[in-house]
Amino acid sequence: MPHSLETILSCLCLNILAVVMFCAAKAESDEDGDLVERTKRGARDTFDALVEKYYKKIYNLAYRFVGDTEEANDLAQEIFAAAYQNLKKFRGDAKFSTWLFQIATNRGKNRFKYLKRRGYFVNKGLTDNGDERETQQRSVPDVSTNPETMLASKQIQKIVQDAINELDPDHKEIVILRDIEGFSYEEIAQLLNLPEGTTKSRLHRARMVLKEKLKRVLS
Amino acid sequence: MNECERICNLFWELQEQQLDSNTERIVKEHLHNCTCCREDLKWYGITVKALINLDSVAPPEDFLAQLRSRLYSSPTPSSYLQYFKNLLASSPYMPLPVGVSALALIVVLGFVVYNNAPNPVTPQTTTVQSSLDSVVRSSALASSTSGSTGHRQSDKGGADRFLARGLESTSSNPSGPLTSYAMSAPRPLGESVTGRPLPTVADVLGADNLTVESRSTKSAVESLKKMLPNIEGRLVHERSQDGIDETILAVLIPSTAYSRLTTELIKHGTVAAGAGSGALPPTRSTTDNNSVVLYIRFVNSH
Repeated sequence: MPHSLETILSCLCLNILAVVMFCAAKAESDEDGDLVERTKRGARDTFDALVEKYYKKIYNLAYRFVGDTEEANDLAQEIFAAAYQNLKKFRGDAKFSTWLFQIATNRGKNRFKYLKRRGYFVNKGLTDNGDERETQQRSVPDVSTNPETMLASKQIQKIVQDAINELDPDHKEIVILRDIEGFSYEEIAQLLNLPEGTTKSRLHRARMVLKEKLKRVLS
Repeated sequence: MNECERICNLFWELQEQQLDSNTERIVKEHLHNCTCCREDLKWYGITVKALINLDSVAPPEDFLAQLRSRLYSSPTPSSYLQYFKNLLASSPYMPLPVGVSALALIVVLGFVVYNNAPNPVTPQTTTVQSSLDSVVRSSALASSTSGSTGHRQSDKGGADRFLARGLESTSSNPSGPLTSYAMSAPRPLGESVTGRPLPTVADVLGADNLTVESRSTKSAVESLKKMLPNIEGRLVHERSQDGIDETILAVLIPSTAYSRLTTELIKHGTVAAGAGSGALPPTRSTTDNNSVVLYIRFVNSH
């Protein structure tokens, strides 16, 4: 009897926890939806609230796409401007954050392609300047001996960012979304309009490419 | 694909702990024995950690201020021109109400233009008077060659066909004034546009109203009155309007005498079939198998 009571209580707790989590998620979604609706009706302060909520993540995502603060600044502003101009087209089928990051990913990918075509990354990459690469290799400590501490160094971060810049756009976006921004596979599939299995296999291939690049530079 | 490649392809599942126990055991056994794969897995882990540990880059302090100025500095639409420019620029398609309104406007304009379009009078058109002249001339020619019987038949055929053509033309513009009455010249007499033979006035109407535009309405009326006994017809009603110099006669004539009557009228001026401007009774004349009632309006041609 006490054992069954314990089971019932634990089930009840789990149910309550699930309801609380659902309500929290719903509240977050409703909060954005309310702000979006008020912005659509012409309020500016509500869009400012949305910007303040997401601009750091959007800026970080933009920076990971272009690898430069000036370009990231311009790209992030372009993303918010596009969102503001197209807000009337947002029907609320998905969460506002999903829609916003979809715009950000598309714009980031396009900007990255544009910069790459114009040779923007030529002198920033790992392979383009042999002397610079050698200098980097000499100055970087061996990560494999103590990865936890070494990975936090600015130098390593610069090398990782350069390696990301060398990825092709499809690999780059998925690495940014999953490993840097921390989106779930389900969210990534929704953002990129891809099957979940494709996102996983694409992420694996992107990581393998990056692994080879980092191994070459850091080991 | 060798075993090392297969093991490398399972790094993602191993990292995410998605492998089943049996596969995990096989992978670990392979890693235990293969230094290369073990090294690869180590670097795979370092790569993932490196990505996850990337610091978040903070935006510049004036980012929000810059963004606000960029978002809200664009001028609000102040004029209708600006409004429509924005409307067209923001959407590749017109909103539905605007499209429907534009379509309705086009339909209404098209209807108005179609109804108010003037009758085209090309250089090839000719007036009723010239057609009448040709009919009369052909009648005179026929009478001089084939005698009185031939004259009558020629008159009947020519006048009837002419009036048939007149009626066909007036059917598209029944209330049009006589002066604007025009028809296309090249069409052969007695033939419609489609090439079928046209019915005569008597065939089509049995009886109808005629308008005679004459320089001397008085003499035309008297001439008609004198002629009526000769064609076994009689005057039913007469009405004159002094103010506008107009006389209306209602005559009862045999059906066969229609062509002689119209020929006589043609001698006094231009003849058109139709009621004119509504001065004649609006109801059509009654008819039977042998006789018709005609309302003839005589107006002065200035």
